[in-house]
Amino acid sequence: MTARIEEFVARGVRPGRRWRAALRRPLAVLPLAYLALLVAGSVLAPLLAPYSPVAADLDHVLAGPSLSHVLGTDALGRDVLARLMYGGRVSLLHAAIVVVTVVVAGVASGIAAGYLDGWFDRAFTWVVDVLLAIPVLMTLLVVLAVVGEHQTVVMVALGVLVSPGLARVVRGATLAVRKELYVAAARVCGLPHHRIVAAHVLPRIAGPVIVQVSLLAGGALLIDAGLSYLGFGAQPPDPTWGDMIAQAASVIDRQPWLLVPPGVVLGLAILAFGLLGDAVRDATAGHSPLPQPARTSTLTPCAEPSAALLSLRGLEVTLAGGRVVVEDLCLEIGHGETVALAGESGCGKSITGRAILDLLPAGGAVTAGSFRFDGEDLAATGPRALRGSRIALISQDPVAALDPVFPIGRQVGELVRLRHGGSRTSVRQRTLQLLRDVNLPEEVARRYPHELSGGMAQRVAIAMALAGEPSLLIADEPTTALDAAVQAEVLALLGRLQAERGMAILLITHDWAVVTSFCRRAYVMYAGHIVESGPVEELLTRPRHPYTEGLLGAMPSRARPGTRLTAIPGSVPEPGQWPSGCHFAPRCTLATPECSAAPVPVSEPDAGHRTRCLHHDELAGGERASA
Amino acid sequence: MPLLELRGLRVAYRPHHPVVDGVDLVVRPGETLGLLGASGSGKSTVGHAVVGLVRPSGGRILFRGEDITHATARRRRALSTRLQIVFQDPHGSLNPSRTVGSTLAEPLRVVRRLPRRAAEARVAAVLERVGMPPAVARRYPGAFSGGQLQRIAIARALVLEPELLVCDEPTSALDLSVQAQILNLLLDLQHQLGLSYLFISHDADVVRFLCHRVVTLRGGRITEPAGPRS
Amino acid sequence: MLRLIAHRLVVSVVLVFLVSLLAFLLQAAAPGDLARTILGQNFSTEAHEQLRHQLGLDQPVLTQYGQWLRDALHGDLGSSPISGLSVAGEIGNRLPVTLSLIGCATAVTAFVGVALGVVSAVHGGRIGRVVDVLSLIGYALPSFWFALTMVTLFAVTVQLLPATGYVALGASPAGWARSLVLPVATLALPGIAVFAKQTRDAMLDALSRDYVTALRAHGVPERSVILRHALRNAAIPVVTLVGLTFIGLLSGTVFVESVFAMPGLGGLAVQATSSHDIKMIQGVVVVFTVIVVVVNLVVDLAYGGLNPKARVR
Repeated sequence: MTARIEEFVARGVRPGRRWRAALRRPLAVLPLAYLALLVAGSVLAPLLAPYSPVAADLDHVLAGPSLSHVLGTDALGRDVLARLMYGGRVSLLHAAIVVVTVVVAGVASGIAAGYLDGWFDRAFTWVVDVLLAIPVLMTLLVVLAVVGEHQTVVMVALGVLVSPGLARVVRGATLAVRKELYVAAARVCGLPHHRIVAAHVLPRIAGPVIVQVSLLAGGALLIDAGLSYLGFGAQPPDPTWGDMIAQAASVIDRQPWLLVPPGVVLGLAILAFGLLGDAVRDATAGHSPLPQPARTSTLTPCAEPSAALLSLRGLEVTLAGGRVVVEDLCLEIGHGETVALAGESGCGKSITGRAILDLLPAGGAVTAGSFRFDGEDLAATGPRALRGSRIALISQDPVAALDPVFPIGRQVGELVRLRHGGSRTSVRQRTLQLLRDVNLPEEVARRYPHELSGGMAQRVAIAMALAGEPSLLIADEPTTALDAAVQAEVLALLGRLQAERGMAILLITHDWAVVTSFCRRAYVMYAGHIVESGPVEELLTRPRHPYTEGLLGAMPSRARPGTRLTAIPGSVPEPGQWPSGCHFAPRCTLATPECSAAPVPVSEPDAGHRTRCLHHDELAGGERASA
Repeated sequence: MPLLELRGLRVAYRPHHPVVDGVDLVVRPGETLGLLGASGSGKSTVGHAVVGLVRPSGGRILFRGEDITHATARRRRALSTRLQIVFQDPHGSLNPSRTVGSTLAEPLRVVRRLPRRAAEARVAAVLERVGMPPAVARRYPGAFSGGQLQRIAIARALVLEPELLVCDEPTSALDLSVQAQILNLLLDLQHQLGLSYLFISHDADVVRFLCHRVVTLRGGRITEPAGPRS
Repeated sequence: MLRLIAHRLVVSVVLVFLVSLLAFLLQAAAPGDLARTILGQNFSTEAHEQLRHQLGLDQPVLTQYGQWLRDALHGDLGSSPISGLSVAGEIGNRLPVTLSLIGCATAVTAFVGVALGVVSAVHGGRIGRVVDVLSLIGYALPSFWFALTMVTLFAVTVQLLPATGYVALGASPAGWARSLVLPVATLALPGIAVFAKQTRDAMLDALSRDYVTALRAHGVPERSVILRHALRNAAIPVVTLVGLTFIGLLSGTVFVESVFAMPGLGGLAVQATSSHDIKMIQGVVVVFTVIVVVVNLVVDLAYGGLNPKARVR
C-alpha cells in the first residue's frame, strides 16, 4: 500500500538521467562553481599569481594576512596564495589521473561482468574480492618506494588499486538493468548487445558512476595531499598542498595560521566533490528520507451509542503532504461477524485497516471522525491501547510480517509473555498450543521465517494475532500472495477459529471470490469512499451502485467465454485528483450534472443495503448486471 | 501446420534440476492456448524459452515447422517480427528513462531498418490500435497508470506485427476493472489481426474466459493435456 | 556459511601470495638495486658483485621469492639491509601500538556512530541534520590536517594532552589512555559519521518493514520494537561496516602515527618508504594483509551469527 502511494508521488517526474537536473540544484551549483574556481586558479596561476611560488622574502617570514600578502607568507617568506595556486596544479592533475584510470578500468570491467554474466562474472568477482582486501595505502607505499620519482605511475597505481570499488558498483547496476523486463523485451526483438548496453545500460549507470567518481576524486585529492605531507610528493621548493601543511606543522607553535589556507582549500575541494556526489545520489538513487514528523489523530466524541463491536463514523484519513485518502467512512462490525472491505488497489481499504489500529505511515493521521469499540468511545484515548489485546492484524505478505532474525517460537513466545506473563514453561506451552491451534507442527517453533512457505508463515502470523485473544481480527489481503489451494486452507482455518472463538473478522480484499466464499456482509470502496454496503448476496444480484455493477460485469468468471466483458472505461483517479461530488461520476454511464455538483449522500434503499448513488433506482435491480 | 509446437521441452537452470520437463504443446494459427499453473510450476519459463530468453536443455521448439530451439542471434532477430512477448509487470517492461515513442520505435529502426518518419507513423498507428492517443509517444512511462502501461507494452509487442504473442500473466498485476479492459483488448486484437496467443496465467477464471484450449502445468510437467475449456 | 568461509580462506591465501609477489616483482623492476643503495655513491664493481651475491640478488626473481616465502612461512621475514634490524622483530615491536590505535578507534567509531544513527532514525529532524553535517565534515577534513589542528588546540594552546608519543599499556594504563585520546579522536571522526548514516539507513529500512508494523499491531512496546527487533536487524549490514572501518583505519594510521610520532607500523612503513627499504615495507604489507584477512573472517562469522539466512549451507 505504502509502496503504491510513493509510486504516485514519483509519477510524472521524468525518471532516469535525473542527475542532469541534479546538477542544476543549488547544492550542486556551489560545489561546481568552487571546483571551477580552483581549476581556473591553478591553470591560470602563471598569469594570476601575485608572486612566484618559490620567491623567498626573508624579511617577511611567517606574516599573517595583509594587503601585500593576502594569505600571509610562510617560514621562508614565500607568498601563501601563490603557493596555493601553483600547488593546485599538481593536486588537481593527480586527482584527474586517478579518476581517468578508475573510470577506464572500473566501468569497462564492471559492465562486462554485469552484462556477460557466466564465467567472466565469476572470475571478475574473484579478482575484485582479492583486490578489495589489499590495503591500498600500504601497497601504494611499496610502489612509492620503488618508483617514487614517477608521480604519474604512482597515481595510475592508485587508480588501479581503488577501481574494484567502482567496478563492483557498476557491475551491480548493470546486473540490475540486465534483469529488467525492458531489456528482456529488447533481447526478444533481437537488438544487438552493444546497442542494449548503449541505449539501456549506460544511461542507467551514469548516475551511480558520477556519484562514485566524485567521491573518488575527493579521496584522490586527500591521498595525494597525504602523500606529499609525508614527503613523497613533488620535491621542494615546488609547492603542493600537502607539503604546505607539513611545513605549517613545523612552525605550528609560531604561526598556526599557516595551517588554515591549505587545509581549508583542500577540505573545501573534497567537500565539493562529496556534495556533488550527494546531490546526484539524492536525485538518482532511492535515498531514504528522514522520518516524517508524527501527527496526532483527532477523533471527535461520538454521541450515538452503538451495539456494534466496532463502529467508525465519518472517518477521514490524511497522509503526509495533506492528501486525503479516505473520506466520510462509516463502518460497523458486530460481535463475531465477518465483514469484507472490498475494492481495487489505491481505493483506501488498507489504509482504513491501518487507521483502525493507529498504524498509519509517518505523517499520516485520522483527521476527522469518531471511533467506538465495544461500546467505548475512543476519542480521548485513541485506539493504540487496543492493539494486540482487542484488535489484531494480519497482512498480505506473511513472510515479511515476521522478524527474520528470530526463530518462530521466540516471536510467538514474546507476545504470549507480553499478554499472559507466567513462567518460562507456561509461556512455552501456550506458544506450542497456539501453533497447534493453527495446524502447525511443534517443530516450526525452531524454524526461522525464511524457512517457511507462504502458507505456513500466514498460519504463524495468525497464531501471533491470536496470542492476545482479540475480539476483532483485521485480515488485510491475507490470501493474496498465496496459491489457490493454500488460499482455501488459510480461509478455512480463519473460518474455524472465528467460529470457535467468536472473534469478528474484517477482511480487506480485492478478490470477490474470497468475499463471496467467506463473508456475509461487505463494504465496497472506490477512491476513498464507501460506495455501497450490504449483504454480499444482494450486492451480487442487485447492486445499488454502478461501480459495483461494473465490477460484476468485469468478472471473467461471470461472463460467457470469448465475449467482450462490460468493462468500466478509464481508470481509478489518484488521491488528490478526485472529482468533486461522486468520485465515480466521470466513469459512470448514469452520471448527470447533479452527481458532480455536491457530495452525494448515502441512502438506504433496502434495509441494511446502503449506496452512495443518486441514480440507484435506474440500476433496475441488477438486470443490467446479469445481462 | 501448427504455428508453434513444443516437443519434450526441458529447461534446467541447474543441471539435473529441470524447472520444465517434457512439455508438449501446440498452438494453432488464430487460437489462444492457455497455460495454467500455480507459482513455481514453470509456466513462465516455457514462455521465456519460446521467445529465446532462456536456452532449453532438451526438446525442440518448432515455429511453423522450423526448428528454432537453438536459433542464431541473426535468426532470432528475424523471428522477433513473428513472435513476441508481453510481461506481467507493465512498469518494468518499459525503460523509465526513455519516451514511449523511442522505446516503441527502437525495434522498427534496428530490426526493420525503417527511416525515422516511417517508424514514427507506425508507432502512432499501433498506439491507436491499443486505444492510446498517439501523443503519448512523447511521454515517459512514469506518467501512466498500470492499465495504460500494459496497453503500451502490448503496443510494443505488436509494433513488429508478430503472428504469435506470448502473454506472461499480462493481467495479474492489474485490478479487476482494468483487467477487463486488457482482456477485451486482447480479444479485439485477435479478431482484427488474427493473432495467436500463448496465454500464461495462474487464474483459472481468466484462462477459461479467454482461451480456446487449456494446458495445465504442475512442477514443470503437463498434468492436463490440452482440452477445450470446460 | 561454511562454503563462504572456505571461499574467503582461499581468497585470502591467494591474496597474501599475490601481495608479497607483487612487492617482489616491483622490487625487481626497480631501477638500480639494493646493493647499490647500500654501497652509496662510490664502490668498485667487485664489491658490488660480491654484495649482490651475498644478498642473493644474482638469483632469478622467482628463486628469490621462493626463498623469501620459505623463510616467511617460518616467521622469518628477513632483515632490513638498511638498518640491519630483523623485519619480523621490528614489526612485532610496533604492532601493539597500531593495534591499540585501530582497536580503540574502531570501538569508538562503532559505538558513537551506532548510537547517533539510532537516535537520528527514531527522532529524525534536527539530530538527523547534525549527523549529515558531521558526516560531511568528517568526509572532507584531511585526517593529518585535523590531527594538527587538534594538536594546536589541545596540546599547544590548552596543553591538556600530550602532543606526541605513545605510552605502552603495561607501563602506565593512564598514560596509555592519555596518549591515545587525540590520535583516536582523529581516526574516529570520519568513521563516526559513516556509521551514523549507515545505521540510520539500516534502522529506517528495518522500521519500514512489514514485521515492524506487525509488531506494533500486536501491541509490542515501542522500546522493544526499536531496540530488540529493528536494531538487531539493522546490525546485519552495520557489522560489515565494522570490518571495512577497521581496514580503512589501517591506512589512516599511516598519517596519524606520523603526526603524533607514534612508534607504530604506519610510521615504520613511511620510514621504510623514504629510505627505499623494500624488505621492510614488504613485511609490513604482508602483515597488514594478514590483519585484513583475519578481520574479514571475523566479520563473516559475526555476520553469520547475526543473520540466520546466511547460516544455511
